[in-house]
Amino acid sequence: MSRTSADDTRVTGGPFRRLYGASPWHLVALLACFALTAYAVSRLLEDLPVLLRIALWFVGAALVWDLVVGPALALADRLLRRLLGRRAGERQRLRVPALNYVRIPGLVSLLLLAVWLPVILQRSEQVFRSKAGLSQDPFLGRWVAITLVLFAASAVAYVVAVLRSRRRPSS
Amino acid sequence: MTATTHEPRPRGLKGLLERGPGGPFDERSWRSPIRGPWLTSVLALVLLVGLLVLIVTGLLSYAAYDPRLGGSNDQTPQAGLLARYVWFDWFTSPSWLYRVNQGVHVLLGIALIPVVLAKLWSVAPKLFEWPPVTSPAQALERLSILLIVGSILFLIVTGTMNVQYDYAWGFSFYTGHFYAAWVFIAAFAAHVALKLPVMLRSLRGTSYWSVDRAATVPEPRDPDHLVSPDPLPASISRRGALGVVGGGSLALLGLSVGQSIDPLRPTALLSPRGQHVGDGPNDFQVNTTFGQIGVDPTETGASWRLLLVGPSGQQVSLRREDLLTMPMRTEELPIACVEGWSTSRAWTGVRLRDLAGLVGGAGSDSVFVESLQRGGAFSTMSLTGKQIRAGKTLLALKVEGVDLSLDHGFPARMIIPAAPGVRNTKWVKALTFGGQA
Repeated sequence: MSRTSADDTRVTGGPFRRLYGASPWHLVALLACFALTAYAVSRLLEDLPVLLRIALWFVGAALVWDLVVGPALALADRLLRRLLGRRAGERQRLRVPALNYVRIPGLVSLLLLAVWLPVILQRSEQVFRSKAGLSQDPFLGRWVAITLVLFAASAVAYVVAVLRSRRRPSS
Repeated sequence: MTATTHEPRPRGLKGLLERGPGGPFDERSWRSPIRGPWLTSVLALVLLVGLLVLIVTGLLSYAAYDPRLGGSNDQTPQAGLLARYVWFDWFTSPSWLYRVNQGVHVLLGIALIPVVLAKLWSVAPKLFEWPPVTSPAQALERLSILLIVGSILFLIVTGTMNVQYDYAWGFSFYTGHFYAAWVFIAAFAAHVALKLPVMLRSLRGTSYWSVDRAATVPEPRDPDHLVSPDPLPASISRRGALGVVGGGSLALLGLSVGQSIDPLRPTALLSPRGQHVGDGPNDFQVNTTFGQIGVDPTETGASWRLLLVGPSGQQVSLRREDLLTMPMRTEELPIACVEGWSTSRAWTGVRLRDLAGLVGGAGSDSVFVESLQRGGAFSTMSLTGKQIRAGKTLLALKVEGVDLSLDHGFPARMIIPAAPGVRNTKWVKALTFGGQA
C-alpha cells in the first residue's frame, strides 16, 4: 500500500516512530482511553444482554448517522441544487440564489423533527400519559406550524434580498 | 500533495488497493469548499468548552443521587471504580443547585446537538479515508474515533429519548447513559490530548470569519485531507454555515428553555414539559401520576398513617391531623427533574429533623423513605444525615397554601433542598432512621 505524502512527512524520527507511526505519547493517550473503556465494558459483563443492547445502540447510532442520515442529507442537497439550478437557468435575471432560502429552514425543521421525534410521532403517548398526566397530541401540529413559520420567514427574507439586489446598480 | 490522483493508475487488485473502491472513498467526491481545518477547529472549540460543562454537570447529577446509600439511590450498582469519585454527601444548599445543574446539562446538551452534527459533517471524509490503515498509530486513533462518535451519538439519542419517555432500548436509561458517558470521557480526553495542538494551530492561523460567500475558496490542502481537492463554487460562506449551526442551536434552546423557567413555560413548544397540568396551585409538572402507582385512593384517606421508626426500634404512628399540629415550616424550594424541567413552589410541612427527633433519630446518618407506591424503581429512597439535618428538608403536606393534590403526593411527600426531583418521594408511608455515623 502506498503512503500518502502527509504520512511520509509524519513518519520520521526514531525507530519507535517509524514502527508505530507517531510519538510514544500518542500510544499512551490511546491506551489510557482503551483501558478506561475496557473497564467500563467489564463492569457490564455480568449482565450480558444489557451490554449487547447498549453495544447495538452504540454502534447503530454511529452507523445510522454515517451511512444513512449523512448520505441522505447529501443526496437531498444535491437534488435541491439541481432543481433550483435549473430554475435559475430559466430566469437568469434573478441574481439572488434561492438555494439557502430553502435549505436553511428545511435543515432547521429537520433538526427539530429529529430531536423531538418521539413526542412529534407520539411514540410514547401511553407512558407519557401515565407518568406525566399529559398528552403528546399537540406536538405534531406545533412542529408543522413552526416549519411553516420558518419557510415563511425565509420567503420574506428572500423577497427582501431580491428587491435589494435590484435596487443596487449591477456591478 | 495530490499528485498521485493524476498519475496513470494500475489495474487489478493492486490498483484497487491504491485507488480505493471509489465513491466516498475517492477524496474528489467530497466537494464542499468550506470543509477544512479552520471550520472544524471553530466547531471543536465550541464543543471543547460545551462538552466539558456537560461532563461536569453529568458527573454531579450522578452524585446528587447519593449512590453510596445503595438501593434506589444507586441505579448502577456494578459501577465499581467509575462511581468512586463520589466521596462526598450531596449538597443541601444552595437549594437551586440541582435545578441549575440539571437545567444546564439537558438544555446545553440539546443545544449542542447541531454543533456535534456539524463537527461530524466537517470531518466526514476521514471516515472514508483510503487506504483505511496506514500505520498502527492511525489504526488505534481510528478506533478511538469510533468510540467518541458512537458514545456521543448514544448519549444524544438516549438523553433526548429519555426526556420524551421513549424507552425503546431494552436497558435502563441510567445504565446506558452512565457507562456510555465514561466511554465518552475516555475517548474525549484522548481526542483532546491528540488534537488540541492541531486545533490551536489552525485557530491561530488565517481566520476565515470575515470572508463573504463570493470570496469563499477552500483552505490550502491540509495533512488531514479535510480540504476538498475538487471543490464546487461556494453556496454559503463559512460564517454563514456557522450561523446556520448556531441558529439551529438557538432554535432548539429557545423552544426548550421554558421547561425550566416558569414565566417562559408556554414558549417550550416542543419540549414535553411546556404544558399546563390542570390549574390552581397544583398546576405544575408531574412525574409519576397517582393513577400509575396501583394504589386505592382510600389508602390516602383517614386510614393513612405515617410510621416513624427510630434507630433502636422505637415506633411512632401519626395521622395527618397529628402532623398538622406540629410546628409548620414553609419553604420556597425547587422541584427539578433529572429530565431537566423544573419549577419552584412554596411548600408547607414538618421539618424532617423534627420527625427524626420523635424517635431518637436526630443524629442518624440516613433515613429510608417508603412510599405507598407498589413497585417502580423509586418507590423507596434514602436520604443522608446531612439531608435529615438540613433545616429546609420537609415532609410537605401543602403546596402554595393548599393540600397537595393526589398527583403531587397527598397526603405527604418529601421535599429536599438541592436534590433531584425523584428523591422527593411522594405518598410517604414510613420513615426508618438509621444508626449514627
